[in-house]
Amino acid sequence: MSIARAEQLLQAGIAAAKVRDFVRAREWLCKSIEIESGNADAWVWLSAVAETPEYGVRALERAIQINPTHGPAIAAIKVARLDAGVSAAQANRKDDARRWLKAACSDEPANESAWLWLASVTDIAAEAIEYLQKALQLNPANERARVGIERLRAEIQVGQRWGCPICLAEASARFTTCPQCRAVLDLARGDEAIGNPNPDVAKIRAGAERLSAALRSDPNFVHRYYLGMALLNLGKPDEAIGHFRAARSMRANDSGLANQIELLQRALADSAPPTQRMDRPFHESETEQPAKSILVVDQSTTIRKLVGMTLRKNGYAVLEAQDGLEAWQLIESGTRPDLVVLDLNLPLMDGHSLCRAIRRQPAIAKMPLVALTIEEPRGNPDPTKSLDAHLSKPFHPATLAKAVRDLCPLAR
Amino acid sequence: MILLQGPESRSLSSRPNGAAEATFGVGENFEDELIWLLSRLEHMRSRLETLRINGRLKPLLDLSAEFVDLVVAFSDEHCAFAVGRDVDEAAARVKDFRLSFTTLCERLESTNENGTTLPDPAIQSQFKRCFAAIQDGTVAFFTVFVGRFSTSRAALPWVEAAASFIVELKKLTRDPLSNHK
Repeated sequence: MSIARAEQLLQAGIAAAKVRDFVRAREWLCKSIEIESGNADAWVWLSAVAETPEYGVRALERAIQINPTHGPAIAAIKVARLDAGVSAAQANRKDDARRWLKAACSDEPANESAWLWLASVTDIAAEAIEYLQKALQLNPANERARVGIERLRAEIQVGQRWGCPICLAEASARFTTCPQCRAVLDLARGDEAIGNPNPDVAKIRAGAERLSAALRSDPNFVHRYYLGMALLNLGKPDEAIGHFRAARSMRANDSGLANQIELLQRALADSAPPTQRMDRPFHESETEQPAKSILVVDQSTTIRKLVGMTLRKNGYAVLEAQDGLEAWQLIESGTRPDLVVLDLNLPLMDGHSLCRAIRRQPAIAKMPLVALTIEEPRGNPDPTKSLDAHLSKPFHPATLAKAVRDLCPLAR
Repeated sequence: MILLQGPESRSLSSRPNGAAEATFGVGENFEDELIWLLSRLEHMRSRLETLRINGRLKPLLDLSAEFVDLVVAFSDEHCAFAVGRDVDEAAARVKDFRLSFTTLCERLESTNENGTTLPDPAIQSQFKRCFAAIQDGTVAFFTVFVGRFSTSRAALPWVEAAASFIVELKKLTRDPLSNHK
């Protein structure tokens, strides 16, 4: 058998392929390759008439191996990988499908069909949602992607599909701590992850290695985030934070994640665990003797409690009254708050009347009065000239705290 | 006098949607964000009560949608990775609400409901379903939010405020059209 014979068989195979006689084409091309295996063109033609897409991809890979600059092979392999991935997905060979489809997505990130197929063979729902979101970004009108995301979320909700993103163990319900590898999976519980008393180190380490490898081919948010969680559970917080920061950079608008990362960094920087720090603002202000007290007057229990929370956090003691009359009776009985925060729309004795009553008493005439009300100032918001400040509802705690501090600073 | 306008001094009609509101003044302190959220929800609850008393069905429905959007946006922003039964429950209730909301919008449009007469039983029933979903969903979301605190002691002040809110909300959701003229 000679090279000339190989060339003859190649030409015959090409001719058969052109008239779509694929069986003969394969026969002659295979014989040509048996004689001359280093002919990249033969492999490319063989891929074109391959019996299965997977075989076609392998043939193209062989051609590129022989000739890395083979233009037609390089162009054809992108489509071939997608075809192979789709074929494997349809045959339920998920590992092969994932391999081909990830390569296809890497070849052509703008191919929304590839992302859809990849999502369909991904076992981790959160990861699948990421892939579908990529398809949706490419084509916001892609109904299949949108419906797929909703379906996956629904499946997650009812616990039909949940797998630990670290060890891939399946469970019937979602957990914040995996029952198999015992990794804490939520950064909001980062302090628990750091102090994880009983992680399955081997499983978590294996998961971290898998996620690391996955990151190399697909550096997406999910891989970064869960690699960070794995490292946190393995007692490697510095490395973990690096990955969380990288994940954060992929979601610029996710201030929740930014807050969580900062809390984690604070937890690591300070020696005191976060639990103590979170408790401190409330219990310190209750056990110390605060210098200033604020009377909060509002019909709404919710508002009184929210204002009270805000002021206690900022070091004030708080008294409450649910209407103007109760507030006035409290003051008349000798209680002397350092400042009053009141709604102007009060039952029994409205806010303006309460203000006038306070201003008429020389002993308390200069008491700062802050209105907190849904009334919008129209023209003269303060006809009695009684108020020192006027805040609108709904109030932001920082705004309220500043107003109170400006009028009634705490003694230092 | 210091005139300090809170962030939401605009009238309700020009209020941006819940998702946009949720991004205003995002601070470092999650607890402050919860106070801010509950402050806005309380404001909306009060408005819902007024609309309910005045029998203004369409604005009542629109504001209830804003209410839900605000809670969902807050959850998406601050509890994106929360998992568990409460998350599932909250999402399911949101779904229920949106279904009822869509049905109600269509019904109100087709019946040309103008709020001057008692709506038909089907509409009343849908309103009840809508507000039941709001009630249950809000409780579930609040449970998720509280889960962000490291200890129950730390969460206690907000939990007390939230509990008061839920009690007030229940009055509204028990029979959303009971005061309809």
